[in-house]
Order: sequence, then C-alpha cells, then structure tokens
Amino acid sequence: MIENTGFDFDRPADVPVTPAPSPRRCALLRTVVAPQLAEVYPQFAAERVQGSARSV
Amino acid sequence: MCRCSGSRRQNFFTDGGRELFDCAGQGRIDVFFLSGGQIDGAGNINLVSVGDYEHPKARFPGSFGSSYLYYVVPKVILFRLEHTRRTLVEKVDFISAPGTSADNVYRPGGPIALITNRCLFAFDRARQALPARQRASRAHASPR
Repeated sequence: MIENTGFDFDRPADVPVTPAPSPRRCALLRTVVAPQLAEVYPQFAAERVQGSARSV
Repeated sequence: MCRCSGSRRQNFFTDGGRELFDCAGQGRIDVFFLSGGQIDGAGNINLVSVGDYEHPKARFPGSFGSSYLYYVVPKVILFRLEHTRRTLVEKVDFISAPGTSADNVYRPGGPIALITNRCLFAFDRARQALPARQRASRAHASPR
C-alpha cells in the first residue's frame, strides 16, 4: 500500500479488513440492482456487477 | 443541454445537470462521487492535465462541475480503481477542486473517503490546517 501511494497517510498498527459482502447482499446486487443499474450504466453493470458474479 | 442515453425510469431528474446543481446548492444532495486523473493526500483532485499545463503529458476531459459539487455536497466519496504512485500523488499537477478550504470560506462539502482497488482511506477534515494526510482505515477485502 505504501509502495503504491504517492502521499503520506496515517494508519493504525492493525489495519482492519473490510468484511466481504454477504451472499444475500451479493445476490441482491446481481439480481435486483444490476438490471436497474444497467439502464443507466450498461457497461459498468455488465463488467463490474454481473461480470463479478462469473468470476466469484 | 446534456443528452444521455440513460434511463428515464431510473433517473428522477428530467433536465440533467441543471437540476443536480440546483439540488446540491439547496443542500438536497447528501452524497456524491468524484474521481480524478490524479488525487493527492490533501484531497485535491485533478481532472485537467498531467505535467506542464502548456505542454501536458496527458489531457483529461476537464473539471466541469466537480469543484462546485465538492464545495456543497457534504459527503463526497473519491474513487480511483488504479492505486499507483501515478494516480495517488503527493501533490496534483492541477487543482480542479481543492480538498479543503480556509475557515472563512463557506464550504459545507468536501471529501470523506477515498476508495481504490486496494483500500479505503478516511479523510480527516479536522486536520485540514495541518499538512493534510489521509488515514488508511480498512484494507480491501480481496488481497492482491
């Protein structure tokens, strides 16, 4: 992180890890949210939301 | 005005950016997302160019409404998928919108966080008078 960041930043001794989204939330994003999102951002919805379903 | 191919059903604005800016000025937009070709530790974003302004190494589309929204939207979340020294720099080459302003400037808005493909930084507005720095609060869930 430090190697790849051009500015200084504070950090705690133990950097907490963001919990992964629950399967329920992932399913909601892919089945309910993604089709609505695709109306506005079709490429993003296809690559980042629905596409991630295939890669996970 | 702006004609987008976007969805009428999923967008409650009927007149594009004008309504967004009006709402933001009225304090009716709580959260907004901004990015930049370069972002620095003081929360400054660069949407204009890299290198010497007259002879840029890279030219981006431009600042557009970013500086206005950065000033009036209380919670601006910065995002940049590419987490490298090329994008996250010590000082941006051009300030499209500053991360903080002097105390005597009316500014309800500003950055609260910067998210990249590697981590989430929280932005500490209280430290704006100091050399502004950001605090890594959470590593991204997927290790790289």
